[in-house]
Amino acid sequence: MKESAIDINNLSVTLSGNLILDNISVSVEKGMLTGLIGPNGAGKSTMLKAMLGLIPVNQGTITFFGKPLNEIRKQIAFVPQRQEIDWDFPATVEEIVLMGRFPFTGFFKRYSSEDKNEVEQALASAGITNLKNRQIGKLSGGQQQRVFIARALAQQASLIILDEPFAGIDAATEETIREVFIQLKNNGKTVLIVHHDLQTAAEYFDRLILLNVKIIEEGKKEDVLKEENLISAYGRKVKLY
Amino acid sequence: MAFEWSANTFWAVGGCTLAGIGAGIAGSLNYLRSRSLSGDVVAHAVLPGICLGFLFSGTKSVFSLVLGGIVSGYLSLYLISFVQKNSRLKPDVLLAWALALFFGAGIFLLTLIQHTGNSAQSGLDKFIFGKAAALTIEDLLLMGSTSLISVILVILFFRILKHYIFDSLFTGTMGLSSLFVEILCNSITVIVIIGGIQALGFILIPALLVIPPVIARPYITTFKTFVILSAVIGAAICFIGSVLSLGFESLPTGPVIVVTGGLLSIPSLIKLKR
Amino acid sequence: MKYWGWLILIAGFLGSCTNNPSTNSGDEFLVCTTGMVGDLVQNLAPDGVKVRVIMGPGVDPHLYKPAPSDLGLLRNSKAIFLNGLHLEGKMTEIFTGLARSKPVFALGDSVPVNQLRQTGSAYYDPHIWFDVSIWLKAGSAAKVGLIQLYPDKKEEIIKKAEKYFVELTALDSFIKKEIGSIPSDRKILVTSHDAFGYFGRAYGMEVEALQGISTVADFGIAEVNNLVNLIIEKKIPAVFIETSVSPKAIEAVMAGCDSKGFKVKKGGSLYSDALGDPGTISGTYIGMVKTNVSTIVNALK
Repeated sequence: MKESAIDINNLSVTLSGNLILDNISVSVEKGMLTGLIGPNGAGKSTMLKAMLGLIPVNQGTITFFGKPLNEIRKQIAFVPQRQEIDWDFPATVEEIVLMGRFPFTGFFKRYSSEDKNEVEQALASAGITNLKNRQIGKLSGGQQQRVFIARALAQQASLIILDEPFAGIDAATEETIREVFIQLKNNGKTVLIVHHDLQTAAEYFDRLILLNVKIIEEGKKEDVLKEENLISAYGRKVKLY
Repeated sequence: MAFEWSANTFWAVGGCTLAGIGAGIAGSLNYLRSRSLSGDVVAHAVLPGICLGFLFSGTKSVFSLVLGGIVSGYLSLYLISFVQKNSRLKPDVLLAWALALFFGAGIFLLTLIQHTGNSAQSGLDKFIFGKAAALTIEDLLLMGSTSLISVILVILFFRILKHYIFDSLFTGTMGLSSLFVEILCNSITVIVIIGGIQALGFILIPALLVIPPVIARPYITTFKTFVILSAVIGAAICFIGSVLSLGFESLPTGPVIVVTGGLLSIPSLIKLKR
Repeated sequence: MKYWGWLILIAGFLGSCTNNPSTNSGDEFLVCTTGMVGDLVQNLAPDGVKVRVIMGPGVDPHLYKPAPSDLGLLRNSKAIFLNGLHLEGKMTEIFTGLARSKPVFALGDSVPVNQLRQTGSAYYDPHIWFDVSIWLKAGSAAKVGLIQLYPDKKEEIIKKAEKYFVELTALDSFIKKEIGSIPSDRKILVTSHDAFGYFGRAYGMEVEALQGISTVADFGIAEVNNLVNLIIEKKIPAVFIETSVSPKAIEAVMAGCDSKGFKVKKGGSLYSDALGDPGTISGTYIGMVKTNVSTIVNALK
């Protein structure tokens, strides 16, 4: 019996009068690299935010490792889209990654040397040790993404959820992030990623979820990427190179 | 022109300086939240509340006026978020509308009160431009308290504020209620404005929230130093401005403070160019 | 949407506030700005003539902005009497406009310029009612105006004016006597704004104030300090607040004196730019002036 990291049942979400998610039921397998794909406006980001209790839902139940969100928050790391953040905020890279230690420190405890060590390791994994004291406003897109990855790593969560981490980054960063994910998977973590690029989806992920307001298909790549599914989702034939 | 450091001078300069501390703190938070205009809205929104507080209590007691101001200050902010959620209006239109609405209501009430001729009413219009020169020890205590409250709140909830303002999605997943932090930030703004209105009046007090963070921004690299420096600069502007208005007869203190701040912000504006 | 309903409700409420019920009465009436002008005109007008006053007790005429109901009154009046000399500073344009369609009498204009007080700014001091001899001139102007309005009541008006002017002359003597009884080193009147210049000049008192002749002007710490030092230097026993101006400024001055070890008393509240409540002694001009005088004398003697 495959163990699920995430179980979603009958999730429906309406935003500004529009039905964004229509009675979604899907599971994300534990220990896998899963990509959530679909056309623009399909509801992918919405699904993430609904799962994490960031937006209200019409109906639906969501459990993580069999537990409701409130019992297991500390085991979930969320990396939002880069453009949702105001990078003009005065802070160093280290400070942002330190935020990831929240499950261990809460909002009031001092950061311990263990916290600082974990941050060092996370920075190293993300390949940005040299940027530790850099102002976040002075980072490139790829560097910003690595900072967020490092923060998620510092959290040492079992489930990491990312919203379009591969969008608008340089090749080197792309390489590094892929390596991080593979490393995470090898360590038994579960990774769920909203991905924007159909072409690389097959290459990057073990499992896929194809979404367009409803779940079109989910599971193994070969099953999901069948032509009839893609036509359902994208409304036309899509060529895969 | 004799520079006299009398008790009146101390109260005026001291009161303004204390107000500047709170204003700088609230202003720095609003700057990072991209809500700098909310100070303006709250300042104009406080007027109808103060008037209603007067009308209901019949006296000019500080307590009822402050209470009224707090209520209408909050009301304006929640009206804005309510309309924001349910309307397609853009943020700038929204803020301008709220500002006009509350200001209009405030002037309407103020004129109404003026017409009743209740002699205790006179003095409400001093809220428009403030009465920095006529501050007494009680005013000092009020302004000191409001600034102190803002300092305490920021220290207490420091990490919460910092994390939330930078990435509210992250703190949301950590279980932090967005509503709580929004109320916190709005409270600090409202409280600080009510304190500062005594000195500068509600037309000028928004400037005191906006200017210190603008001056501070190019020189800071962390959230902590940003808030602290904004508070220090707020106090400094008020101190310099009120002392300057000392040296000349008939120079009203409030506007001198704001002009001082405006001039001092020019170097920072240049530095903040792309 | 529910909140539109509220908006309409509020707009409707605001709109209804502009209705002026009295314009339907059919009676004609005269409109005066301040209570002082109103009292003067009422005392001279033929019996039965209605006089309406826009600025009631406690209202500051320097700052007063008329409400729509006031504008209705003004437009429907038979004639308008005002103090003039920019006392009603925020209404100048309104009177200019109204003068095109009806008689508008600015009583202060009848005072010879060489008798007006000039305070260094561009304007004359408008507080002419505090020098009873000058107020008599305003009374004459009012008399002329009323005769112009009611030519068939000329005799009545002249008789009433004679009677009233006798009372005013008696008032003038009364003030001279009372103020004269204050020791000369205490004949200093400290108030919030410079409303008593004519009073001081006519009855022999030195007058000091924080604000100038209009409450519109602001004051700085320097003025506060100067006044505090003056009070201490001259050992002034009492200062006065005004019924139509915020006491805040005077209270700050008093606190300042206190901090320097000199306790100056609050001598009481003076009627400066308005009368007292109608029905009370200070609700009439003569009563108001007498009340002021007794307040001043009691505090300073």
